[in-house]
Amino acid sequence: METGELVRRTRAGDRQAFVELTRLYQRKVFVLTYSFFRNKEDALDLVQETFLRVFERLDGFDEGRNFEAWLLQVAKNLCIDQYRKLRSRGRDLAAETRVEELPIADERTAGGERSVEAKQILARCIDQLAERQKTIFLMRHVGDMGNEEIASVLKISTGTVKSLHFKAVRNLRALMGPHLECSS
Amino acid sequence: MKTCEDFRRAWRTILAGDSRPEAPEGWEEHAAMCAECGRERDGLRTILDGAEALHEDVRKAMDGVDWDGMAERIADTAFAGRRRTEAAPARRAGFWAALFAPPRRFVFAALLAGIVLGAGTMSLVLRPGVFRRPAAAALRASGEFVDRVEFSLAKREAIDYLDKSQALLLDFVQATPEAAARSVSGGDSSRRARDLLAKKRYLNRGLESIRMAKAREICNQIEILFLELAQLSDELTPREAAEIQRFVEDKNLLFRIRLVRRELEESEV
Repeated sequence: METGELVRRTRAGDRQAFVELTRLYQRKVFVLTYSFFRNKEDALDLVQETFLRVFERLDGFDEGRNFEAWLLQVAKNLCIDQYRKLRSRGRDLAAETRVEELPIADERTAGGERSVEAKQILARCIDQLAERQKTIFLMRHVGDMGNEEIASVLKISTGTVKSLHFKAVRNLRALMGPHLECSS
Repeated sequence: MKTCEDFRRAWRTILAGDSRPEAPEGWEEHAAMCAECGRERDGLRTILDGAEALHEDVRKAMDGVDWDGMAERIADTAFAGRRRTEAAPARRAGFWAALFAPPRRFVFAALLAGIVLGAGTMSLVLRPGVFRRPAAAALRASGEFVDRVEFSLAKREAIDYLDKSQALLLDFVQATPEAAARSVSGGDSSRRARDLLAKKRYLNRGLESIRMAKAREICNQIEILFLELAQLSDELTPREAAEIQRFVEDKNLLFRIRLVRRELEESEV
């Protein structure tokens, strides 16, 4: 059954249609929420929160719109809200270790461990990016979304997506710079 | 052979998301020869590899999640929430309906009418101009203006005082000593002198100004004279009256009064 039909039936009160709709998109929403928090439980909570929010607002959804883009937009907004809450509470989203203390340049570290540490450093640096740059980088590289898809979710042009992605990588390069130079 | 510019262009293309890092040909050869471009390539590769590792994390995290069960749970929560929302307005309607049932409705209506009436009355009572006189608007004037007004008033009072003093002294001086003594003993001149003494007390503050110095001097002399007239009213003899008349003439009091009066009239305020 296609998405439009599932949406119509859910609006009419068909529980099974909503279950199908959730099954269809929950993994995609999970990828987005997990990429934000890198914590399975938080990500699953946000998936549930996203579908409940969508269910509440389904009556106001314009059927001419792309449902997936709308759904991911709701998920993204919830992620940002949650991210701000956690930040204001002072909770660190990544490891407790400061980025400068992670031993990426340690020559004694074995290859496998080294990639794990590089990933940790990258995760910490991503958290330091501006909100839109972070969202676009995660959507593109972790959520595996294309520029057009990101643009439709964020309601911005493809050119802006490219520009913000370029800035995100350039800033990550600058944030990770000392570690990269040491490791080389 | 690729140049640094080619390398940077390729880098921008990759960052725009239009191609993968492996795509540009001759990149590795150039990076091997150019240390700066080599560093750029390594940095970019570390970022993209790290992102790939995060992507792998997501895939691992997705394993073991009961997606079907989760969809069912979400649907249960959503539909339970809808049922609660639909039930809530009915309960609220019931509450309000019970609250405004006919027996209570009249009580609430009376209370509301009382509040409206009370508020209206209070607003009428407290409004300026209805039962309360509106507060006068504050007058504001410069110090210079106030000084000029005070001087003008003092001058007018001084002229009036001098006029009355001149009239009294003329009546006294132009009469014979016997008639002058009688007028004082009879009370007419004495009463006028007492009135002028009272007026002088009121005038004193206005005469303090430096511009009223001449008027102050002549008024003080007249005051002493009037004080004697008032004190001697019952026992003034013709001889004493003649002495006072001479004193007035010797001191040229009438003439000086005229001069000061004219000066006051002509002085600009």
